[in-house]
Amino acid sequence: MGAASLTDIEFDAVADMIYARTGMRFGDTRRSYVEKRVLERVRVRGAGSVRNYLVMLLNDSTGRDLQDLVNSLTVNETYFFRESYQLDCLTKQILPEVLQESGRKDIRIWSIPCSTGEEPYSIALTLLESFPGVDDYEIEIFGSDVDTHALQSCVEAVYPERSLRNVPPAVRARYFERKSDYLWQVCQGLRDSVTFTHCSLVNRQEMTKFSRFDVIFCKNVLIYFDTISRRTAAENLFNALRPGGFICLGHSESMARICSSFRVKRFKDAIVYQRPGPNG
Amino acid sequence: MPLVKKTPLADATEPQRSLEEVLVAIAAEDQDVRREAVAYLVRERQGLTELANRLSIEPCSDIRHSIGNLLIEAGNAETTRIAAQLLASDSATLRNEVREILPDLPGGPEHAQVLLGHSDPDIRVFALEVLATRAGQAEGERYAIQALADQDVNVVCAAIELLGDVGGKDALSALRELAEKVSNTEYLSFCVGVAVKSITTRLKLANEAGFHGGS
Repeated sequence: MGAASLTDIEFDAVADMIYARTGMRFGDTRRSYVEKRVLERVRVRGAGSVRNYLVMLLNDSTGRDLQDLVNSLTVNETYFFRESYQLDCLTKQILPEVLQESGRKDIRIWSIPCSTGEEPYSIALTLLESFPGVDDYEIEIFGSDVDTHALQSCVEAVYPERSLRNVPPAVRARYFERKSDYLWQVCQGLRDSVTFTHCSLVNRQEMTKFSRFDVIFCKNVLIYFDTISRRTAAENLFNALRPGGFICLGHSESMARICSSFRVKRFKDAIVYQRPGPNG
Repeated sequence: MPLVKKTPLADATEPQRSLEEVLVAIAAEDQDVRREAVAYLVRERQGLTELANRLSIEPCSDIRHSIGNLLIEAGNAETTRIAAQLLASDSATLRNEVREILPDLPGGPEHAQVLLGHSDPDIRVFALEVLATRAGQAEGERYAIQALADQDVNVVCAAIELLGDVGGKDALSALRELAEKVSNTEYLSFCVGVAVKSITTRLKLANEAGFHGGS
């Protein structure tokens, strides 16, 4: 392999391709992070040089090589019941309000990006454990991500002990099966209750498949986007919600600076954003 | 253990619609019809000029947001000109939305340069803000220094404030020069003082960082 770094032109070309696919803009401040992963992909693919690898990416009509690079760049560190205050808010405040306003019996919830699945499964677990009359409703839960390896992990649903550190023993006993000394698998019933799909927040065409959600969890991804991608993602998320639906962001994120179409809603347990209802 | 409820995702393919029909629909009374029509045009990247013209009268902010995104992604000099005119709108919301998108519109910064010569001082202030944030630091500083000579006090104040945020050594000497001219105007003197303090603090920190970094 050639020199262990990318030229400015090579780095910009890679950054542009990743941006077009995911909306994530990797600038100079994250150059070494990107370089390390690109060089690893050059090695794995036996491209011989960064330039050859770029040609490979450009000529790959299946998009698999670029997807592999994207997979290597995404951050998948999460665990069950992370930011549990939002899950409390979901069952105690958000859903009661949604159901009271709409009078419906069906609920749609979306976790995007869902990473390796801990969040959508935590949502399902929380509903089963703490949402009164859960069986009286038709509840659909979706999880989506741009990382196809992470999505595969979602479907397999096998997690190390440390991912379950916030799961109470009784809940663990009811919904997890021990696979080895330190691995646990989500039980079949729960796995069947979450649908996992690929989706990029900045891809309008792909996002049109996702609509009528009552609640969307979209945490800690907008911070990786540039202004334009943030605006596009906000537009797509708005359109994916039902009127009156809610979006939960990460604790350090705000929709207010991105898009004025959402309303801030302050619940007791969390601050969330709402698509205005049919009556404004 | 219930909770299993799965329905297939919606079909992403949608029937082709005639452009004429969709352009009529963007002015429909029903906001859902307008929203759907605009979303269609955004995905198809059609009707750009009509959508740009729609910005000034569309009452729903999310629809304006979608139009703004399309103008950023696929707009042209004409749609940027139409959008930039809204900086003079009576609606503060609309003005703010255009200020947000103008830096990213195709040719937006160039258009902002033209607006620096606009007869309305408010528009000159907006243009200056766009240029100071969008252009590189040296360029932003240059525009703000030029604006210190503006006839309108609000434009001068905006320039002083921006220099406080982005200025370097050139800004410092321009501000010190201005300080002598405005010494009998208490408010302007105060603004200049704040900006000078901000720049000197920043330069000092940068110097210290450079010193430690090199040792």
